[in-house]
Amino acid sequence: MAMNHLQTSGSSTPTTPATRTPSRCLTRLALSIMLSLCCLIGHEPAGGLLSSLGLGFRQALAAEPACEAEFRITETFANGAVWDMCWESRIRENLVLSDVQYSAPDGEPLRVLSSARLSQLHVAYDDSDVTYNDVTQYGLGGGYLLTLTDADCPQGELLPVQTRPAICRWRGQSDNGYRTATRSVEAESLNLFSVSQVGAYAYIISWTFYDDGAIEPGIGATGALQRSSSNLDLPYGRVLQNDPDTLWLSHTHNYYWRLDFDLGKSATDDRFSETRYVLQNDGRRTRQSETFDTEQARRIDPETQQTWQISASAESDSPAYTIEPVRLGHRFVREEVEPYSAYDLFVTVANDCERFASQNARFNPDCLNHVLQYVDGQSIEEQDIVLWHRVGFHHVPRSEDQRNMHTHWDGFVMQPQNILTGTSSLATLPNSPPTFLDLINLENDPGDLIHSHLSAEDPDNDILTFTATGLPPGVRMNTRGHLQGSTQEAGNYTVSVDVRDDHYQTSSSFAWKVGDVPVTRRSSGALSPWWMGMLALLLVVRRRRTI
Amino acid sequence: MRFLRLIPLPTALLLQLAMLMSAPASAQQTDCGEQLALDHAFASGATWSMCLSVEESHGLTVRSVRYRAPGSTLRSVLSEAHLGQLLLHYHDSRDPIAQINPSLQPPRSAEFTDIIAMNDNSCDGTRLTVSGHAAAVCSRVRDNRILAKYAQRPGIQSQKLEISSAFQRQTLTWTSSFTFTEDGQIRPGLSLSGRAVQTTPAAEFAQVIPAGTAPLTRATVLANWRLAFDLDTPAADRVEQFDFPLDADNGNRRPMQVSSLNTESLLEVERENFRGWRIIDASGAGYFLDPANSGFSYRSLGMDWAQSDGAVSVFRPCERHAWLNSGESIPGAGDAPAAGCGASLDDYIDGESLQGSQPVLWYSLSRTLDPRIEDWPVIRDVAFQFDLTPFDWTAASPFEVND
Repeated sequence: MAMNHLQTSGSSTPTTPATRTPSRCLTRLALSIMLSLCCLIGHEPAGGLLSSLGLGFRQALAAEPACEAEFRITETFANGAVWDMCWESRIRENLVLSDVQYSAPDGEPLRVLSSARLSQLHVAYDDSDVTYNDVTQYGLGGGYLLTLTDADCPQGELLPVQTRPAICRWRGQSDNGYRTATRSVEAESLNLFSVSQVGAYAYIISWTFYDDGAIEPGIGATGALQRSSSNLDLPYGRVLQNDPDTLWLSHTHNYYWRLDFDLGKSATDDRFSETRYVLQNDGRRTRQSETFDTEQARRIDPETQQTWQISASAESDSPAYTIEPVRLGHRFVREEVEPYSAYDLFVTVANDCERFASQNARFNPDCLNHVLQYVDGQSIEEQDIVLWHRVGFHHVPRSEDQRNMHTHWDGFVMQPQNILTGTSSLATLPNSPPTFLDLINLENDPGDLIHSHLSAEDPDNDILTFTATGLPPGVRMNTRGHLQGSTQEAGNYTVSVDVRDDHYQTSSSFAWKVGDVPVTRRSSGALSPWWMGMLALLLVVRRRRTI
Repeated sequence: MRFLRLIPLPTALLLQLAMLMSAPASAQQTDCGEQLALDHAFASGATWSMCLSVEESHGLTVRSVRYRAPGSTLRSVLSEAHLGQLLLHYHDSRDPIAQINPSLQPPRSAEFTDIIAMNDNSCDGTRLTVSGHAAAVCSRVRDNRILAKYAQRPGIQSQKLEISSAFQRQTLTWTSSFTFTEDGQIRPGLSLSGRAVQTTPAAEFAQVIPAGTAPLTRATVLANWRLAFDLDTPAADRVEQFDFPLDADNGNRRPMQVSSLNTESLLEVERENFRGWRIIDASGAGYFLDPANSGFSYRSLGMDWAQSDGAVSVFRPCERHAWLNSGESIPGAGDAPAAGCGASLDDYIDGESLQGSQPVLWYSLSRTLDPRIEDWPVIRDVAFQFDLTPFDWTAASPFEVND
């Protein structure tokens, strides 16, 4: 790694990516097999070795994760959801997860990811073209991987990498739940992290798997500032309070993740699409979704609030994951030096030869060098596809960074879609539906002030939410069931009311007569069908389950 | 301390007493008037002190927010912070619906309030009675992951104090929160949950979810915060804008450009310039607003203020909401309504000089809710949050001796 305290002269010393332009891999299948084997040589033994074998050999069916017991992680949550996966620690990427499966509460195992890992940690300094590609120049595993102690993992379990504890596994609560007037449900999560010391920086490589199926890759950057200058007049950094003779340089961390999704019945039926919410001239927004059939490099479009989806098939209700590029308030773009920096997400055909987002040829000399080169128009239909996503953070040194630097966290969330059967499947508390109390017919005159309320009870003592339709004009009801206003128009009204807790809805109705209005009889004599219907409405409280 | 007298429930009183007893007394006890005083000291000695109130219009407000770093003194950060506006813009409508409308949401009795009372299910911390609303605020202390780690030295763990309050609009639940970390960070947050019930027959604006319900209307949300800074000497506080534009003609360097915002102005995120804003006092200590979570921007027709990502204005007690401002000052805070206060942020930003005035930072975040089966019948939390980070607040990290 570079010196801790690197002096800069202010001159530019551009570094450029390797200038070789290797031909696109010959036959992807054959090459992937070769390179898979090559990749294994010189790297730590892979717990998930089978998963690293090449394209076309994997089964996307949710079979048992293919690894030894010591490299397998299975987490069962209180709501019955299960995450199951294999892990390994590689010299370069460090933590690589494979055969990642999720079982929704009462659901069958769903294969989600064939593999997932950080594929580059690119750091660019503001004073020059000086750039670090930490994953390929140094590595996050091997000697760069820190040994963890109980102080680092106070609530969890330490997993060994070879002979030393280096991965913390813990279970936590998060805000990723839901809240109604009734209750708040916090999501549980499986958390894994390791720490890699690369130069002065310590990177906390983190993966969080939520009980609702969401996945959050994250990185915490801590340790100490890396580069500085003795020229205090340079406009590329800041002088910190306790270090008056040093200019600490501003820089950007660009994190690239490589995510090989396998959501479908096989590894080759995943689909990639992009969704935009486009403001129309009339002020409304239309949803525009585009499914791609070739490799893509995409950049965010903040004004259309664009999102990306990967789905198991072309069916609209097939299991899918969505990436919302929320944490893209900083975008490092330096196309002249790193042309791939203009984009935030890439979709490529899986190729084990394409391991790293940049400096790939350093370890795969017969392969292309960076992720934008992988995007060369190849069809992604009926191919195993890989998503590459980057998130960046521009770090302006502050006095509090000395020393040690407080962790600044970055990452993103992949939200499940069409994987659960509804929110209630996440609840762990028993629940019973609410029932109306004293739901009686009302009668009053036009102009009367209304101040009343509906009542219902809930066996679980949940706070209830009421809705109503068909109220007489001038009367409104809030979600607590309080009726307010004044009746304005004479008439016979049938008011439909619903009461809900988190899980269940109970529906009913009552009659409301305003003024001396005769009920319109459709026939004389015996009770008409209309009256029969009204009686039924008044007498029968109908319950129905929404789930 | 007046807040103790305002709590009618013995249980709540005991809980609050327990909380206060666990926290060492601060050097200067906050005078909160009619509001609830809250102090919390972490094991490291870091302390947060503030006043809390809850209002029908926008939920939680924190005032007189002060932070003491370990080994340092208690210093003022914010005089006031709360949601400035909340727009819910259904995609089949031209105009958004303001979820904050003080004229329609006057103070109400407990029977009619939209402030949600926390219970055992919804608050696993301390439930506080605030502004006459029983159990309206949840206060809890949680672990905050690794604060710092270097090489083989043991990682430093830390905690955070989270204050939250929820209110309901129709079937939607909005939870407004402020999280205060042990190392001085403030994280204003908002989450949208509750039930999506808005339907539309126009298929192009709706999402059918496989639960047998009518198509649910998609919506975009704009959350705006009002942050009145008070860094010890509010009249001397300044707002700086940081930019780091790429200089392609000079070796692709990125010179730091710091400009003082001397007049009221609207603010725009410049993602590729890494733009951010710092509020700084006369001593050089400050807080930095890094718009890292600004991947989305809100756009609509005919609402100019909402087109911007933020604004900076001169503090006026009556300029409280970015839109549909009632022109009234802080209830119970002793400020009389000021003449000439505008109805929206557009009106506030009129080029007035910020010099010698207390600055108010307005900041917005936006996201779109496209309902999934996972959001039925209750929407999974849609979170909005950002960080205010101490920036040269202390001369060095107060958590570890330099090595």
